[in-house]
This record gives sequence, C-alpha cells and structure tokens, in this order.
Amino acid sequence: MSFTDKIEVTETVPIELDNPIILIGLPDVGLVGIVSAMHLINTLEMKEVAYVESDLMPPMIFIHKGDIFEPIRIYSKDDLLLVTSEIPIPTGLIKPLIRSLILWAKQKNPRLIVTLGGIPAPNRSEIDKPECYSLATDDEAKKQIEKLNLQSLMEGIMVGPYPVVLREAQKHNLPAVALLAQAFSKYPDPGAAASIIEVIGDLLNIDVNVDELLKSAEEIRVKTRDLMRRTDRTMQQMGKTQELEIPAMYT
Amino acid sequence: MKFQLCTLRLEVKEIAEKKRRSYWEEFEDMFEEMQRRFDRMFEQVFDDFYINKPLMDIEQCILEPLADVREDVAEIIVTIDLPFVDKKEDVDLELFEKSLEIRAKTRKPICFERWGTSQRKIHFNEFRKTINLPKEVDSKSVKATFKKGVLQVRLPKKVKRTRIEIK
Repeated sequence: MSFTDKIEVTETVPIELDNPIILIGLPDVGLVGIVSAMHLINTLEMKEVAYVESDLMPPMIFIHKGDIFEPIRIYSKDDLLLVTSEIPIPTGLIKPLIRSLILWAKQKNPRLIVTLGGIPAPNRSEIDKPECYSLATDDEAKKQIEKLNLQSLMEGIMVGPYPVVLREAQKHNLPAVALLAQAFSKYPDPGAAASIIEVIGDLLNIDVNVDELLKSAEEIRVKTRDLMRRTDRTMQQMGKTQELEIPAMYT
Repeated sequence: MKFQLCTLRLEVKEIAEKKRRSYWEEFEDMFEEMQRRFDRMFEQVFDDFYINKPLMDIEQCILEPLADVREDVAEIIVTIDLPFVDKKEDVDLELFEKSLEIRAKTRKPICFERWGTSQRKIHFNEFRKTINLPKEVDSKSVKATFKKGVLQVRLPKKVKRTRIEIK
C-alpha cells in the first residue's frame, strides 16, 4: 500500500460537473493561494462539496461560526471547483496528496486545472500592482490562457506543491497552468492575491470584485501571520530557496 | 658526532612539537565541530520554541510582527511587516549591542474576537519585537525606511577590511 492509497477525497455532495475548471489555492509564497481562494469562496458564494481525509494529516479541525471543517477542502459553484488548505502541506505529504487530488480530478474530466500562487519579488514594496506569470503544461492549456496575455516563465526551478500538480496533470494528459503573482515571500500579500483573482475573472469571464479584499488587506496581513510563519518554515524545509538558482541544463 | 647528536635532538624536538601542534589542531577541529553541532541543536530548539510561541501577548495587548532577517557580506537587512501602522513617527527603533527592538503603534485598535482558547474580545494597539542580530553592526551607519507598512532596516556589519595585493 502506497501513501497515495492512504489519502481520500470524500465528497459530501455528489459532484456532477461537465468539464469543470479546477482551481487549487494552497499556502505558499505570500499566502497568495489561500488568500485568493478564500476571497473567491466568499465572493462567489461557493459551497463546500468535499474534503480530504488521511491518517497522514495532523489531527486537527478548523472551527468557523460554530461549525467544524477539515483543513483541506473542496468548494464548488457552477462549473468551478476549488481546492484549498488551511495548513501548509507538510513536505512529505505533498506528492501523495497531489497524486490523490489529480486522480480524483481526472474523474471529473476537467477542461483546465489552475494553481493560484505567488512568485517572490525582491522589490515588492516598489510594485503597486503585481504582475502575473504563467506556466502551462501543454498546448491545450496554453491556448486556454492565450487571451490573458500573461508572461510565461521560460526557465528556472519551481519548488512546492504546485510543480507536483503540473507534473501529475501532465502525466494524466490533463491541461494545467500555474498562475504566479509577484508577491512578498514571507508576508501575507493580499495585493498579489487580488492580481491573481483578476486573472481568474478574465479566464472565467466573470466579474470578481477585489475592492473588499484590498480594503481588508491590513486585517488579512495581521490575522494570517501565524499561518504565514508556519508556511515559511515548511517552504524552508522543502528547499524553496532553490527557486533563486539557475538550472544547470540551461548554462 | 656531537653536532650530529645535537641535530638529531633538534629534529626529535621539532617532530614532538609538530605532533603537539597537530594534536592541538585536531582538538581545535573537534571543538569547532562540537560547537557547530551545539549551535545547530540550539537553533533547532529555538526554532521549535519560536514556531510554537503565539505571535501575541494577550496580557499586554501586544502583537508580534512578522520579520525577515537577511545577511550579505556587508550588511544585515531586517524587514518587518507592520499593517495598521501609517507613519514612521509611530515606529520606535532601538539598536542594542546585539539586538534590534521595534515598537510600533497601530492607528486603531486591532480586534480579535472569540477565537482559540481565549474566547473573548481583545484589542491590540501595538507591535513589538526584538530581533537578535547575527553579527556586530556599525550603529552609526544604520539606515531605516518605512514604506506601505513595511519597515526596512539596513545595518552595516562592523568588519575590519584589508585589501590583499595579488602578485
């Protein structure tokens, strides 16, 4: 029995969608993934439809308005599914978790899988509106994001759960794209999350207002400090700093 | 013959000294390795302690900000995230021999309501943090800027530099 067998996606509501877009927003650089995911859930009034269950996960629940939640959950609205986590994914759990999620996603026959993330920008304080970059797995994914006019990442190293999403999706011939907004690496960055959400709005042809997100940016920065600290530590453990290096094959 | 004996004695003495030096060097290496291991252990314990310590003091109504300490050859760069702090006049920075203390007043009380083990409403008015500096710094050349709620302090290291001529 492999680790992947020990991770299950439990659907609390039957999910019958035709070619959905699956968004994945996890704690990462500047908490861009989780902050943008939470804003999308609230603004689009997405409903929880599934959660991830595993003996490999820390024994914890999250409490919100008196209700209890698993740390890794899946939300839905129309033809959109969104996977998010309130805990940084422990390094040893990344590969089995993502493999399980992609196997589950494959059953849904998605037209696109999109990861929501940040890319550290050393001069972030000087940037008013963070730019978004993309990295697509195949021509089909590239075609779908063509209209967004995003700069593509051409060379480099990516570390964390998102590169595993891209590779696993590629293995299963599922079109996937990573969206990365310029962000503070070690501080929660709602401004970067707003940039990602605007790109998602353009991709889905829907209007997602980010004014409220930007208005509550300071509050988010204060209230997600603990998660940012834990995420930063997890990123250090997985060797996130290697993203600053130049891959040997391009020298 | 006398001369030969004298040379021999000198050689034996030199070998003995070399051996003593190499024992001493070995001991120094061992000691340095022990020191490194101890430092790593200490860092690990400190890290675990830090990650399990909440970023707030409920009794004193003080929040601890997120901070990043980077180091290059010439300086230590400390950046601190200070949301709800508007003006540089509200930030108080003090440099000690081996640490930097930051206090910053928020423009309005930050309210945390009925969460965690506390389950009551608490208002926080201030950020406070002490950062241990990895090296001694030149206090006269320290520069600080405050932009969009992010404080950056650049602390040049106190180092003796000697230019080496290449022959």
